[in-house]
Amino acid sequence: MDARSPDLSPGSRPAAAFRTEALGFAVEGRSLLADISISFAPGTICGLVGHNGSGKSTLLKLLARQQAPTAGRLFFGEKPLEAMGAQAFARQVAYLPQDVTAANTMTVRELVACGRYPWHGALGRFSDLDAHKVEEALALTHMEQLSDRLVDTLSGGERQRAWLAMLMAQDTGCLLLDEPTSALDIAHQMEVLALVRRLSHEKGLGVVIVLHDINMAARFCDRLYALKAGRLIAQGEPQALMTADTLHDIYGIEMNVTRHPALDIPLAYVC
Amino acid sequence: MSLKSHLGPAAIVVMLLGLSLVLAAPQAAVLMGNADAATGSAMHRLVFLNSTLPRMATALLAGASLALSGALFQQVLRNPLASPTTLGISAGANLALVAVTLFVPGLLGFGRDLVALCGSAAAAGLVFLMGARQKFSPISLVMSGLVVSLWCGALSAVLMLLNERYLVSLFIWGAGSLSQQSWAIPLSLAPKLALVCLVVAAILRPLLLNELGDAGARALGVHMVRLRVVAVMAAVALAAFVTSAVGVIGFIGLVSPTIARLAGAPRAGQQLVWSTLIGAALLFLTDTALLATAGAFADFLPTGAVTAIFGSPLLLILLPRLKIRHRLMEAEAPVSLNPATARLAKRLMLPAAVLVLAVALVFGRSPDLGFTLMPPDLSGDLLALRLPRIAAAFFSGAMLAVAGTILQRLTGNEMASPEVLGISAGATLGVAVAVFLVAAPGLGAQLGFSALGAFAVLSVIFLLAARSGLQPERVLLAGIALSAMVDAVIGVIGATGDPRAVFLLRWMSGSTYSVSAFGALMAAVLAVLLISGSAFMRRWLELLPLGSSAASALGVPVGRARFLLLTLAGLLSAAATMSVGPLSFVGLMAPHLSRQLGFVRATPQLFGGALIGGMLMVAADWLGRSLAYPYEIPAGLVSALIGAPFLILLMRRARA
Repeated sequence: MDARSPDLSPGSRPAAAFRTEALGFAVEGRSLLADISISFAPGTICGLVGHNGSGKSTLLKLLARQQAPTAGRLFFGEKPLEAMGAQAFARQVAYLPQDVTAANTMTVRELVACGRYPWHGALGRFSDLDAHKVEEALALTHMEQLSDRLVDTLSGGERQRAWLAMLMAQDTGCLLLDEPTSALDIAHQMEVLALVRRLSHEKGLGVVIVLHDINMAARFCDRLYALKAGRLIAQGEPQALMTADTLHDIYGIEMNVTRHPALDIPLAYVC
Repeated sequence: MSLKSHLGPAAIVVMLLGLSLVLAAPQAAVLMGNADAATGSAMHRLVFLNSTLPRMATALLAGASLALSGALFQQVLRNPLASPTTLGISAGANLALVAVTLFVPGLLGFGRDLVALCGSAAAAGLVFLMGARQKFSPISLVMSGLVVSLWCGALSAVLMLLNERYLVSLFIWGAGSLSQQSWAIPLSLAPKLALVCLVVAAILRPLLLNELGDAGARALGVHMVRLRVVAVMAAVALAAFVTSAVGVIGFIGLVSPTIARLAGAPRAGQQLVWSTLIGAALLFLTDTALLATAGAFADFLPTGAVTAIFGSPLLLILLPRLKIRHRLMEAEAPVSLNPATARLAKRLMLPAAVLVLAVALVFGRSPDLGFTLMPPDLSGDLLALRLPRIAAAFFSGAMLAVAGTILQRLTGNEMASPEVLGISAGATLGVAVAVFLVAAPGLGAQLGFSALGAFAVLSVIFLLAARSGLQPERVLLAGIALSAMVDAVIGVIGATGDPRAVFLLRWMSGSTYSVSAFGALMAAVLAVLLISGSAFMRRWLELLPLGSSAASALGVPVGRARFLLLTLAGLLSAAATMSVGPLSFVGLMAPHLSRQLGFVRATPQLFGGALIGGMLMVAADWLGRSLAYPYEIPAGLVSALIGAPFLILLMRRARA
């Protein structure tokens, strides 16, 4: 498990992705998630959308192994999730929690270096490869200029970029992002999501992302999965999913769809 | 308000009072029934009327006051753990009274209550100052309260130690004895309580709106700041009056509002009223039970210590029900990350440590009271005396610092330290057992028993917090509850007036003068082993402050890491406690100083902190043997008494 070889970069690794089978999660008898069966396509950006409390964050937490499902099965590639070691899993899947502990006296570079933990472990040496991956991650996210700043002193958008850089340094084939834009203004939302999209395409990463804003989700995701009250009610490409009827099903209010005046993307609005 | 919501609390009050009356009845019946029959009973009757009845009245009044005080604190701070005990208010009043009794007894004539008020107000101010740094998060506030409380306790202890004549009576009073010789105390307590009740009644309405939150209440026209100040002042006054009258009575103020809440008094006003009644009944029951079971010994068994012994397990039981809404966030002091300072600190750290050690070794006081270098002809003898204690102080300080660093990084709470975790208290309890089981416990016995005590406490904490996956907040709360209980047990032992209590007190104050060469060697070996062990876990210490989900997403086995780190912290503090006692606060100070000097990452903070901790302890040891020469002040106490205020200053400055 500790064998380290530099050529295990995501590019050369056979792309793996998540698959769920009748997945369910209940707390004290209350079902938060039921009968979710999804095969996430490798190398694509998959958006989870739905109303508040629909279970989209719960689903992401199950994928990230932050919680254990109470029903059904979860696979990453061909392997059942529970059969993977914590470190081995962290080498393949990176997770960005919704609220990242902001107050930290680390510099950006130190935070990014934390992402190397699954590779060097508790005792291993921080090797040249690790240092190289950290620099690469900083470059990918354009954080070189900020690398010696304290995370504390960054703006919201910069902080999200710093955390994304840490996920990059983790060098996984798959990212799980839980509302990475929830606290950002629209300009920073665009910045972060464009970065996610670019990273996904440049490195061939699979991404599962929870997004609040349906228009942002339609704009940046390859595929959308809509949850309602813990069940999967719709899935498909944004073009197909963004219809008045489906949106009504998802959010329970009258909505309609128009075209973006300049770009070929659908825009939803409330009637 | 519906009648139904009053049923639960009312039933509890009736039950408590009923039980106490059953317990008190035989005594009263015998005395009153025989009063006119036999002349011999006139004496009994006198005792009943002038001692037993006033005692009952005092119990009712003190219980009511403390419960009201606790309920007020809990409402105003919206903190289910707030109470005069947990916020250090009672301990502050106690310290002020002890200090004034010993040094300026004249002031007591001026107003005993005033002295207590000043003490408790100072303690409250201090706790709130520290709490404000972490935005009054409930746990941080209680943690600051506990630290203040421990510190006041340590200072009271040394004052008593230096004035042994008064020792026993102060001990009994300080631990909360309700025994009375006349109606004076209940009669003076009643009007004060009534006065505060009037104030509380006046602010009851706006207090109900407090639950809407700051913005909501302000929108309705409530002056929040003024309301809080008045309510806190009322609560502080209540606690101070009781402490001044009968000493520290633990946990009534914490437990009664909790019972009222659990019994179904949902609204603020009901909770205030019912907690007060429940508090009165609860202390009354405790006291009558104590009288009925302890008999003649009851006068010397302080009720306050008994309530703490029974109250703290209750707190432990309640812990899992408590929802911790506030996440712990480290509101860290903006560290001046001047790279030059950090580099300088890094370069100077080792030379500074060597210098401190050398000075402590060769510099001392001569018999004519001057300061001298070690005379060469005496060097052999003096080195043999000084080397072991300096080595023991250095390595113990280093171990405490590492334990503190681990705990602070693990919990993300800057007030976490071995003292707060209750490990030190466990070690003390172990030694207390040793003192009473073995006639004259040698070093080996002390070592074994204190390690046993520390491990007992640590395992109880693990058992209690295991269900939450060793969530650091729960671990700390369990530690707080356990140390309060251990403190109470030691208070009871002290109150017995047994000479062995003095030995225990001396051990608690952390003296290095009895350290043998073997003890020093032991400390050195343990320090090297355990500190290098902690270096193996540096990566976990780096990642855990990112939050448990981020850390586990990176593949850190969070549960196992917490377990190992806590075990290590426990071992480190138990080992250090052997030679420098349970209360030095070095484990609290050193990690802070280390970070302020620019050692922000885990590994530098660990080793920088270890060196700083060692230096602090050596300096404290040197001060202890030089300041009051030819007498000695125990090193642990010196570092606690000088270090803790210094730390608070430092934290204040860092915020400004």
